[in-house]
Amino acid sequence: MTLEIKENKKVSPYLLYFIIYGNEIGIGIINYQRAITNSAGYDAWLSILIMGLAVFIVMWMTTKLLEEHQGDLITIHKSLFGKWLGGFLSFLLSLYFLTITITVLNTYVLLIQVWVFPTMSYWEISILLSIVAFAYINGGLRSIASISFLSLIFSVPLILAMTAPLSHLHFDNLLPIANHSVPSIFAASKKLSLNYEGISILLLVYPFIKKAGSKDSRKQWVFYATSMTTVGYLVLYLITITYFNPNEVDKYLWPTMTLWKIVDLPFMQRFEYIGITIWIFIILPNICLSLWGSSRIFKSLFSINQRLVVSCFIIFINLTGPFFNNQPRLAIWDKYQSMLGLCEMLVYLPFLYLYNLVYKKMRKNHAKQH
Amino acid sequence: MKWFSKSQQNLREKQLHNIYAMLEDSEDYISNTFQLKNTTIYCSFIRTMVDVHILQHNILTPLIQQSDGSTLEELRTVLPFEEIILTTESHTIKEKILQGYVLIQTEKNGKQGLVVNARVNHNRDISHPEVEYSVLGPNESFIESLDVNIHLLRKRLPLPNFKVKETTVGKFTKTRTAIIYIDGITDEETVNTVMQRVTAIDYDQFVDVAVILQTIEDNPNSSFPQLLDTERPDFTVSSLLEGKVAVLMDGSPYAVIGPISFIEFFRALDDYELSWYVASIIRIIRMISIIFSLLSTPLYVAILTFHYQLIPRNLLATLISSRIGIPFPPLAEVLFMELTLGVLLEAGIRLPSKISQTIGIVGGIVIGTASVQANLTSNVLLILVAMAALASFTTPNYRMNTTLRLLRFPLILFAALWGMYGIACCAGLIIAHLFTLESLGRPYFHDIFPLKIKNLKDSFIRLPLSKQKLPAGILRQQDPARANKKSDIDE
Repeated sequence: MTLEIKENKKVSPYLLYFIIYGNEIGIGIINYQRAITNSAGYDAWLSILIMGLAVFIVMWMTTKLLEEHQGDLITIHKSLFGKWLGGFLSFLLSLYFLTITITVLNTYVLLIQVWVFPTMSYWEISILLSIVAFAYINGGLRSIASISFLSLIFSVPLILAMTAPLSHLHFDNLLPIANHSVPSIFAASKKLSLNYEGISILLLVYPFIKKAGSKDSRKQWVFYATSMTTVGYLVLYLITITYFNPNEVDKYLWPTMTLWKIVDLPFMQRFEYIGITIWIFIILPNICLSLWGSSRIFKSLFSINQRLVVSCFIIFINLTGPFFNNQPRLAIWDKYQSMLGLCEMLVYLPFLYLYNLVYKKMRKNHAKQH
Repeated sequence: MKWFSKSQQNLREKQLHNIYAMLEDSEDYISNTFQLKNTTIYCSFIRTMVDVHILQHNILTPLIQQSDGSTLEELRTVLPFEEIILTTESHTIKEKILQGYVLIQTEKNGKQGLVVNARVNHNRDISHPEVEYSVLGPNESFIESLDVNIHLLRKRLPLPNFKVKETTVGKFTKTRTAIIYIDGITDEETVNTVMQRVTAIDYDQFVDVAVILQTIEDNPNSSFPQLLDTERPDFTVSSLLEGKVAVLMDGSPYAVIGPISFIEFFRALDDYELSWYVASIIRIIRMISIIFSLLSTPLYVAILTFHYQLIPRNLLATLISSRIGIPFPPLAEVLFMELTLGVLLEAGIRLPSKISQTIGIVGGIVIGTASVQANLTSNVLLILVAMAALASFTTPNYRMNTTLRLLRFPLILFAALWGMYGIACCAGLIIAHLFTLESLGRPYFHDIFPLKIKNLKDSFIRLPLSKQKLPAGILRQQDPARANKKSDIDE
């Protein structure tokens, strides 16, 4: 089943890179180093590679699925599972996107409260951010694609800030290589699911991308984006572990921010304030895309005005937010949410692909018989 | 023939009679009799609209001295005019008399008449541009007459596909408006959009083309201008060659150009006079100064209110010593200075030129220095506010300049409430608004997003002129393939 989107609402193909890249880099990049070092020690960079490879394969499967169906998530569900079961599965995925938004938003609010404004209430930070996100969602996918594009441009100062620790690196922290057991490395790569969580949005965004020319070359951007995120995570992790002492990484809840403290500019003292302020533009694509995705599923299933759905979601998130406003509860939520994300990414998406293969074959056999 | 039916004739006579009655009520409507060799003619005109020399030498002299005829057709052959209209329609007669034409008739207040153009033109000379001054380039600017303006454009563009479409806008002012484009370069759709929007305007009066600008804009509620206005013919010509449409109006020394993108508001014609790397650096300085002017005072408020830890130790001592004894929080200080500056700028425009020098001294020295010495503001802030105001004036376009100056105030408020987080959120909202703007259907950030690096050769930096060739088929008349292949308007 195909889904026809009007030509003037589509975005150029290379923007798919920014959408996927912007949606993957979000909250995970701040604190993933601690989680994986605790599991696998300084060999956890191998687990980044393993997870990157796994996500790459999943993306390949997803793009193949999308290319064949030429539709989006809702139409795929409908054609594979029928109207009711398919609708139910789409509904569940919409709730999944909502949980991503809750994670990202609450982590960022906690970050601001810890680093910048200790006495600011949850509401002020969260409502302001929600209003900005709503302004982008209001403009549709073109506007969200534009903020993804901008987020990469605005993150250049942060990438340049990573050159600060370069003169203090101890590469012999990496040796000996691979002296941890293989299960522990795999356990560490499971913890990386928060880093890659946004990829499922590809299922909703794909029909909105223009096909440049007659050959369908949209999927190359997806692969570039995934590889670049893996490379980015790998480099950042290598810098982290070669800079810090072996036992020190466990002490910092947010190692990336601690790395920013090393930056020494003549006209500014604490770079992490600038870092956190620019960080808004890095998590805005995450929030906007997830909210857009979940409200779009609701619109397709129940034919409600999308703006209304987005407003309701924002109100819901802001009402349940203060519950997650301290670090222990947020850590528990993160743990369960990343398990859910892991299942969704590495189990559900391949399952869809394989089911599609089986379904196609069955239909072919069925058609051959008659 | 229906036109000559009895009721129609009576109606026409009544209309004509009413027109003459209305016109005769006014003191400057003259209606005289002249005796020619074989006939008597009645000349009617509005004295204040007519050039008496043309009337005397070019109309009456040939008629009195040379004409032998007794009907209007014969009189017509003696008059040395390129455009003589012989008409019986009452509304044409009324229109032409009001525009300064002379009406010649053989019977008083009769049905038939000869209208001849004797209009007087009191235009000012072509002079320097008031707002967009250029250091090195030509300094001609448009004036208030539409014909002279189109002449200024045509003399720079002797092309056969230079098209001028005229229309009138305004119910009472009936102002002539011209829509100008170059056929073959400009996108067909853009021209149609402009024509349709201009002809659909339903407004009573038009004193300036800026009113057209605001009525045909895509989003009149946005403070960002979506069409460019310029008073320079050379800038208009280069915009026309890029495929834009220009709208000019009689009585207004500005041309409205569209579709326009955000970066093009920051292009000045001076950039083409200098060498390309100097021009590129000056453009980059312009961009940096605009960002500085937007963010400097909000950052001052945010850092001094919430994030004093950002300031290096040595500078902290200076800042604290500059703020000792000031009774206001940074927000009040900044608002006071910004509002003072805004009032100064606005008053400077309205002042008669003789007092403006005094106000310069009053504003600069008295208000600025004295308020620092009275401990009402800090001197660091004074420097920042003055530099920010100066930096915002590097914008070549006055409309965009006022928008950017006023955009500082929401940023200051957000900074005072939520510090740097507030500045980031406000910037996010502004960017979200900018991305929804369109100029005549074309996105506002046209070549940046969707990114077309080839077309960026003249936006942030200016690449050498050898790389900025116009499309080769510019003079080929019927080249629709060329026009459709242009990638920049075909989004």
